[in-house]
Amino acid sequence: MKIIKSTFFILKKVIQIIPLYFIFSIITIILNAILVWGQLYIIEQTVTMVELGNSTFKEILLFIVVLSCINLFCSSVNRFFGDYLKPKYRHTWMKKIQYLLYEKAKELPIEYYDDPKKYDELSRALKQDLSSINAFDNFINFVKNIVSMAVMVVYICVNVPILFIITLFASIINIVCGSKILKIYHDEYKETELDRRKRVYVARVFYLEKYTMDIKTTNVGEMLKNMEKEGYEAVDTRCNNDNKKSRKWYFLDNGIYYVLNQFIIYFYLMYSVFFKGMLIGKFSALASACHKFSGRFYSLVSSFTSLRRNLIEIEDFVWLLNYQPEKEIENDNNVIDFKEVHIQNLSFAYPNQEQPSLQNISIQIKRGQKIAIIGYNGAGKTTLTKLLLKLYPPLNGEIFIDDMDYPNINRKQISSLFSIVLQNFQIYCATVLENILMHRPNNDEEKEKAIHALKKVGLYEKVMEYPNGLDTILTKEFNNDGIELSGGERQRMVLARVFASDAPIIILDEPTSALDPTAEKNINDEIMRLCEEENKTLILISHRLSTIVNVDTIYMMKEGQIIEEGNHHSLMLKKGSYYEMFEAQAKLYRES
Amino acid sequence: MEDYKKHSVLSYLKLIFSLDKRLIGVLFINVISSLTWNLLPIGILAYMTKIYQKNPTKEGFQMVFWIILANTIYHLIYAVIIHLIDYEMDSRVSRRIEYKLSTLLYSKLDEVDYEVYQSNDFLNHYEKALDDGASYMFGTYWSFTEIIEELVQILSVGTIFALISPWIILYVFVVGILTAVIFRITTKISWLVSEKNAQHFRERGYIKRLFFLKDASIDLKSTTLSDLYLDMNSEIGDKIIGNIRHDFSKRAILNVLGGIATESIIAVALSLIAFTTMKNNNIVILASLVAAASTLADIVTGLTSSIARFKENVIRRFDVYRVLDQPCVLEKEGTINTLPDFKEITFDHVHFSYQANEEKTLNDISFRIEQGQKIAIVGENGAGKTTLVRLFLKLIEPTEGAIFYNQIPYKDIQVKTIRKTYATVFQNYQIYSFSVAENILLKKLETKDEEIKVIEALKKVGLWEKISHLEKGINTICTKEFDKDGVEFSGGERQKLVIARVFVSSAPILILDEPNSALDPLAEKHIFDEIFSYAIDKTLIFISHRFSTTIHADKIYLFEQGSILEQGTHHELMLKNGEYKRMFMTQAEKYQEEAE
Repeated sequence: MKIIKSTFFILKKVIQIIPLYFIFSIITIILNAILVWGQLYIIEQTVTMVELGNSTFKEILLFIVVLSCINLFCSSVNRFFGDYLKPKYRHTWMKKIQYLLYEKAKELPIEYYDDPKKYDELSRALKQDLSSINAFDNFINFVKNIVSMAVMVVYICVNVPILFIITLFASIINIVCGSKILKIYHDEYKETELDRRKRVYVARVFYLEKYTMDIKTTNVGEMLKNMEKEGYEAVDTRCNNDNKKSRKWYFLDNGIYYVLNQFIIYFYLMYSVFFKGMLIGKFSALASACHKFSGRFYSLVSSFTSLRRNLIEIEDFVWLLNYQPEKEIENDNNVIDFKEVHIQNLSFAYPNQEQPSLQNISIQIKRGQKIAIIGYNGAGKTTLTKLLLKLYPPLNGEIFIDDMDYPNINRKQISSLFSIVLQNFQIYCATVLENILMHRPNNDEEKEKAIHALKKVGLYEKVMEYPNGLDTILTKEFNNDGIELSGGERQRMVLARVFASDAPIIILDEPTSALDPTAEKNINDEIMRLCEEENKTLILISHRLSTIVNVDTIYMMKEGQIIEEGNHHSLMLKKGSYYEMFEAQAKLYRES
Repeated sequence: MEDYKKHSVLSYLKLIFSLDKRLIGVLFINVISSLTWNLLPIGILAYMTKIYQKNPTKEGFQMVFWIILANTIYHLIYAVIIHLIDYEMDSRVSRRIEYKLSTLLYSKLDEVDYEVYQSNDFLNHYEKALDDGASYMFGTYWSFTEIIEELVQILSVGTIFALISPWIILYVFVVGILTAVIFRITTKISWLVSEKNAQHFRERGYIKRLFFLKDASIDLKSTTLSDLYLDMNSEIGDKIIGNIRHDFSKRAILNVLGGIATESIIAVALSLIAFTTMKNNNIVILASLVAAASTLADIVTGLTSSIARFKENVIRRFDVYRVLDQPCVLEKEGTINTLPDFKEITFDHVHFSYQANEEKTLNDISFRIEQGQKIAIVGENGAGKTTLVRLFLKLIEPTEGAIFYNQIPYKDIQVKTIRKTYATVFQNYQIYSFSVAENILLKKLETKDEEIKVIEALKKVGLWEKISHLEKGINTICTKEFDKDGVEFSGGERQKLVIARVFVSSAPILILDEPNSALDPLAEKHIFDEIFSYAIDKTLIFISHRFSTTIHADKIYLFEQGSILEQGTHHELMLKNGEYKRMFMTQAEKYQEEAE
């Protein structure tokens, strides 16, 4: 059923997106049918005309020329379609379907990136932009094969009706055996998926640069090669066994087929020639029709197999395009005049995880306040920021901006509220300007802002040395002329986003981990100044306690809970966990 | 393309056949099978009509019956053989080629110099070769087989025609030349278009990756970034379509002309056959000749498309050769493969720059590290610290100057041998989808002794608590990639796991490159204490831009812009009142305040 649904879905999409492609595909089916008939008829009629001897050579020649022209017309149109229109429309499809896919991907809840299984679905769906149109082509191919077979069946049966029964019988046998075989391979495909995935994993480790150091300096390469070998052997053995299992069905299928095709049909036709006065011309045309028919029959079966495989493959694609994101609240998109964030008794657990990542968190942050969230590894600091960004819905509790609660604030408003630098930040393959603004600059004012930001993070001079200045493309993803930034420069570039943003709340998650002490201090000072000058709110997450000494309130987290809060001074006096952590770090800097 | 001229199609075919010897046998049987499929029916047809012509009675029919029966039995046997081979072919040989090729490519990686990786191009080719190389190889093999089959068939059908009606052969020959010319032009057009679009495909590939990149998902959701890339993707799509529209119309017209030429063979053949039969009044061979003509036309059409497919596949051999041809210098240098016990490493006026004429990454570095010393290397970003690690491990070679192990120059020692003397925790550490124990040992867990070592290491980094509570303990698979019961680690835990590798290593020198970036302060202090007490007899090299590691070091090297700016113990450097002191104080200031 799923397959039929997928088929309809693809047909619908193709008709919507590239209707002309659909029409041309239908035309090729028709032309192909005419061609099949023409090729049979030209042979039969020529031989018969010669054999009967009642036509002149001129008449025969005329017949051949007329029919050849029809045939050539059909095949030429089909060829032009395949050679020119097909690639053109396929790329139109790629362009438009990618747009739709990416739009949907953007709307997916962030859980899809956390759960490996869902993530697989997502990444498969995005990779199916091409296989989806292949599925359509395979469907058309399948129909084309059926139609041309039908033409042959009609041709054969009009001449010798009894052959129809034989053909029907052969088809039934073929379908039965075919489905048995398909099942065996389908099971195999499903059950060896893990082994195949392992091989993909090994390949990925080998071609990603981040792994090369390990491969060169440790034994890891050998282990991976072993993994690959085991995977290959497992699949190969399985496949060999399945071949043996499916053999009898093949032999049955082929055996019956050859007995019918080579024996009964030849026998019947020759019998007609000898005793019923069938003309040689007709005989040879029918024999060749039967021969071609069987060839077609096999391509029908194989086109069905690849169609089926294709349709199974694109399940994820169909799912993603059908995905209905939760409706956004259409509340006039008003820019919120932010005054305070209020987190109330917030609890949260990741899906499929028993232990809650956040428990009963309450924080109130006023405009212009600077707070820091610190804690041990895995304390839930990053999770809290993700909830603040409305990437996950809380399990319990609420978050308010002013007096609006989160369910009533839409994505757009959220993104206008926050500017963020995450732990795993990314530099994108785009110009320097675009990397800072996160969109194409609309006017000179925005450009000025980006320049200002670059100056603040101390990158302006460096950028101006690049051949294209602010329009230089970063990373070498597109082009080897692109600029690769060093670790520290990357972090500065990302921090520049904060300085160029109008958002009233800044979230920084380990913002200076790749910076040396001098740069760290300078940038921290700049950020503090920015917050004061523009009355912005700062939420800082850090391991380096030295960077947070000056904030208004420090929240210390442990196992998803806030265990201490207050400013640096009061927490030090308390001599609790904060004190302990601070001292541990400070000791490293004190001479014994 | 000029560089790749040396790899002829022939040598590529040799390479393919050498990956699996069975391919030759399969080729042979396929040729026989094609003859059976296409030529046998013509022969039988001719033979049967001849009998009918001579003897159209019951007796004649009896003879025909035996022929039909023999033909059927032959086909049944043939079906069995073909099935066994076809299936071998389809499901197993292709996989074997894939496996063999990836093994070949993986081994190649061992030999390629580290420097080569730095160029994006190499890894791009490598990825291509690994992903698609095998399927193109198989495609090459498959279309090659088809071409051979078709040539054999054309030769045999052609001989029959040459005897009866040589004009047809002449016509086929002319058509052949015409299509070859057309083919040359069209492949050139296709190649040009794919060259033009290659850049756009690369861009499009990046954008696609971005949309399922975990680390980009938050930016895509919470900023305007997605609009930027959606627009960009549409623009790229338009450019691709533009190129196709521009160049493919010409290609299509040429292909249509070529198609008309090949398909006209049947019309010409029919006319000629009709003409000769009518002139000679010889109807007997008429039917079989017509069948042969139609087969011939089919084969010629088939041949043109096989050649096209062959060309498409064979051109991709360069993806594989670009990798296999990559010259290796450093990885093959040196002959010494056993080293005496470690005493000292000496850098003697070492200079290094990644590219000629570029600013030097390291400038005149000289130092000596002795067995048992604890060394801290500190400096700002871009000071050349990571380059230094690469030099230690002989991943790269000094552009000037030399490095010595004891007194033996690095140049004379094999890379594998040198690297064995180090246990390194890299800045960009990785966790693999192996078990916890294997991730620490980086080999299969084999002995009880190793098990004890692993547990010991886990305790030292503070992960034993977590691991011991897992059902499968140290045999739990890391990450959920292949095992839904796999264990996932947080950033800090990942780093701890990687540091555990140091504790099981028997290497005399430990290098830790920014080992503490993801650790919370308490874990950091704890692990440092453990490392120091573990490495009491070992040589320890800390690389960091934090100064928390420096106080207890025997010697500190402060790097600035590729040179050693200051060196000495913490005490000496503080007294010196230079750059070190300034940087140390910036970082320590906040902590010091409190202490006062």
